[in-house]
Amino acid sequence: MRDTSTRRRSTLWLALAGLTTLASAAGATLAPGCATLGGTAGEPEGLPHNGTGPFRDLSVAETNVRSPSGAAIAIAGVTFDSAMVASDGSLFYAAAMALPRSMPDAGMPDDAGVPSDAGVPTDAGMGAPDAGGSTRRYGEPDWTTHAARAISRSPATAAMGLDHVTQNPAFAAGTTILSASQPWEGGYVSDPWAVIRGDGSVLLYYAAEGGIGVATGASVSGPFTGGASPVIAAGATTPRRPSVIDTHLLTGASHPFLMYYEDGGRILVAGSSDGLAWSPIGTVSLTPMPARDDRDGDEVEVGGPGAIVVTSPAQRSFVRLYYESRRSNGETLVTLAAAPEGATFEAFGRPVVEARDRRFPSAYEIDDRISFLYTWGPDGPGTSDATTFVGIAPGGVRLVPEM
Amino acid sequence: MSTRAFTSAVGTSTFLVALAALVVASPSVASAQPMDTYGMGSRSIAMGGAVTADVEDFSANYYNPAGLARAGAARIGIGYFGAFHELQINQLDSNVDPARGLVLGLVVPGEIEGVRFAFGLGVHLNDDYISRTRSLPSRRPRWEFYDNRPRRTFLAAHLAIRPVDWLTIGGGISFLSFSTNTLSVRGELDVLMAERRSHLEHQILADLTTIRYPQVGVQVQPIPELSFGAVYRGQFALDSKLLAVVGCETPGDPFCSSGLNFTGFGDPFPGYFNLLSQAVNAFVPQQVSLGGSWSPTPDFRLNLEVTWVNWSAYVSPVGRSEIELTIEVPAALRDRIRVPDAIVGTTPQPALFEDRFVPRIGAEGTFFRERMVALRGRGGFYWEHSPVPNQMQLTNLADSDRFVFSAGLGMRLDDLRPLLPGFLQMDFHFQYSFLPDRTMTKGSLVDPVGDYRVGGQMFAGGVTFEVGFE
Repeated sequence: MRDTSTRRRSTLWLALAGLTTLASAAGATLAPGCATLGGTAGEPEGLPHNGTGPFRDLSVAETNVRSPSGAAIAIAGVTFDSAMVASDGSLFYAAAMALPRSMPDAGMPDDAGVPSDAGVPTDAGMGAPDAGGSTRRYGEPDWTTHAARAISRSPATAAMGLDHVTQNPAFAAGTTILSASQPWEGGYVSDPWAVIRGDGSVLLYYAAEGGIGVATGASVSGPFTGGASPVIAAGATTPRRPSVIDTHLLTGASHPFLMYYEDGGRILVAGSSDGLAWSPIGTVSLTPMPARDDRDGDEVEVGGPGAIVVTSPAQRSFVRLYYESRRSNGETLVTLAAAPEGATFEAFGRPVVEARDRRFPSAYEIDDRISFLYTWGPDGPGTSDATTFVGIAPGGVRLVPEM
Repeated sequence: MSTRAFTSAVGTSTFLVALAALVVASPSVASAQPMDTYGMGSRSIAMGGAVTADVEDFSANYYNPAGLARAGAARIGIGYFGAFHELQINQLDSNVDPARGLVLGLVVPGEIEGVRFAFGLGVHLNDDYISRTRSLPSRRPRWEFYDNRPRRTFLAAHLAIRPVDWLTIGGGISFLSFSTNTLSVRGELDVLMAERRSHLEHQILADLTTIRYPQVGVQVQPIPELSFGAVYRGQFALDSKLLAVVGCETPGDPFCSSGLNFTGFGDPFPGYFNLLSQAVNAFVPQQVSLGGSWSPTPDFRLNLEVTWVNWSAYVSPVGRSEIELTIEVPAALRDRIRVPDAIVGTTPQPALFEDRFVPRIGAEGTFFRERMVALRGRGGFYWEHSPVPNQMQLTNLADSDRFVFSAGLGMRLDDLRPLLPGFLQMDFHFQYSFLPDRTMTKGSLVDPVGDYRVGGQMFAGGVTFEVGFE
């Protein structure tokens, strides 16, 4: 009897010890879960956006470019024209040094004692289009006060400590890879668009006085030689901003290469079998983006195309065409359209960037979740300088921890 | 009719009257509940929830109230559980909040006029929410089944009888917490320097109430080795209303007697904004579970079950919203401040969910048995096919199939007199859910959400202690 009682007590204590151990095991199982599983309460890291943004300008902390906020590149004394990011992640941009400004009347008061010509460009900032078809429209700098524009390339650099993106969204000053050398170019080259082929060679499209040309290079570093004649020649108006895609991922595309470009306030498309010889196809039909309210003005023209072929998480490949919707009040709203074969576009109908003075959009997809959108814009209110900005979508993705 | 049979009939009638009263008193709408996602009680969860034919602890309040009458002793249980989500949309963490909470319950058996009966109570208390209402933009992707649905407090009260040894019948009602919210804002809003010069007060009125829904079940045990069970859970849809009022529509309202005034342009001028969002915040379809339990030896049990879930009756959470904005802009400012004529709200979208059958399997084996101690191992699995169709249009209800694996251990101590006139039981469970990647394809190439991929995994675990008094 005594033995039985002792054994029962021992068994009881053993069992209670077992219970305690089991409880500890349960607690230990749950405790790491509390520490490591699940996410921070609150908002998702980033929601799907399908390239529609809205794109958030990166902060200075995210680009490490000091000024202005959101700039992807900044070089003292240099004014940037349009840019694009190629599939290897490098930035191709056109830019020119500002010439020393002549100030003939500076310091010489007129009759009223007010300087009448302080050397400030008359159309430096944003505003309504100039009458008479001046090239200084929609905030474009006065290139006559600059040296000749040339095209440069800045290679991508690895990002340090970024959560989701291994490539730095910003760029250091690049090296010049193409300057005007052909008579038809009129002394400048601009609007670069690089297509990197499978063998690493590059087709570098650009705009100049006489139209759109193509330069070829053995690699992204060049050297590039400008074409002897434009592939899309200027007519009554000058075509610009070529944007070329390789269509091999698309179903039903009419040509192996398609070029979207701006001419006369429209976006046109041309086709090519080799990327060198082009034949016009026609005008891209885009439903005008409606005004959201009185501030938007009406769409009067479109331009500045930047096309990209994307493949969705559902493995659908299609063309995403970013472009400028130019408004009657002189503002430019960046929006997009999409087409499965690059011809019949469905317009998004809303801006994808909040700013109302951005132009020449060029998208770069980090993956099917995160996109950068590079745009051109003035680097401050009322200034004649311009730079390339970079925005990110989803806007909730932070490349560096928020302070 | 024998005396025993007559007594049983009287007892059964009494029970059925009570049960009918409970059911009739219940409205047809109620709210979602956490147990549909995570289960209740460590033993039942560890067995994959396949316990409709084999449950007698307090978790019978959820799985099958008829099981309450199988309990030979009064039982009090308490437990804790935690669930953690790693759910992703396009491989970005959706940050679905973890769910943690206390579960407790009791089973009190008795006998009336020779008929054995039991009363059961089950409670689920979240750690951080009594009830949570969340209104999201209609297009915003959301994990419809895991984001907000489990954020409820649950209370269930059931009665069960055992008119004959081989039959138990149970039923009752469950209560869930629910809230309607009104947000009011008054004060001065500086149009030019909103952040620095505005002075605003807000008031939130939350009306916390309960929702009730019926549940009935039956268990049949023709031979000791075999048991069958069936349970029906009623459908309920929770009509969620969120009212946000900025300014004052009714001048006599004491809170907004000063209304909302816009400043920054000379004399203040009044404004009024009204947002009414009305939607189905949580919906649980009617369900029928049929299960069987086979115990070829006293130390092993195998349970099989299938649940029909009427998801085709699902009501989309994207509901109706109405927006009204009135700002009495002075005539001198009308060229500078423009008030839109109308702001378009949203209209309900059909969800087009499909019904689903959920197969479940669970097993329990005793791998150690001493005179006082029995140790049991458990395992379970079930598969929930996603009822959510491809999200081609406006809505973005993220969901994927869910494969749920569970395991657990249990320790039971019997013969504890004089320390305890009954038994002590402790159960532990771990549950892993795998949601394979699923792709949603949109109808438009410029849809603001676009095609996306959803998937992820969930981890849950918990412990339950139970004391039985014989």
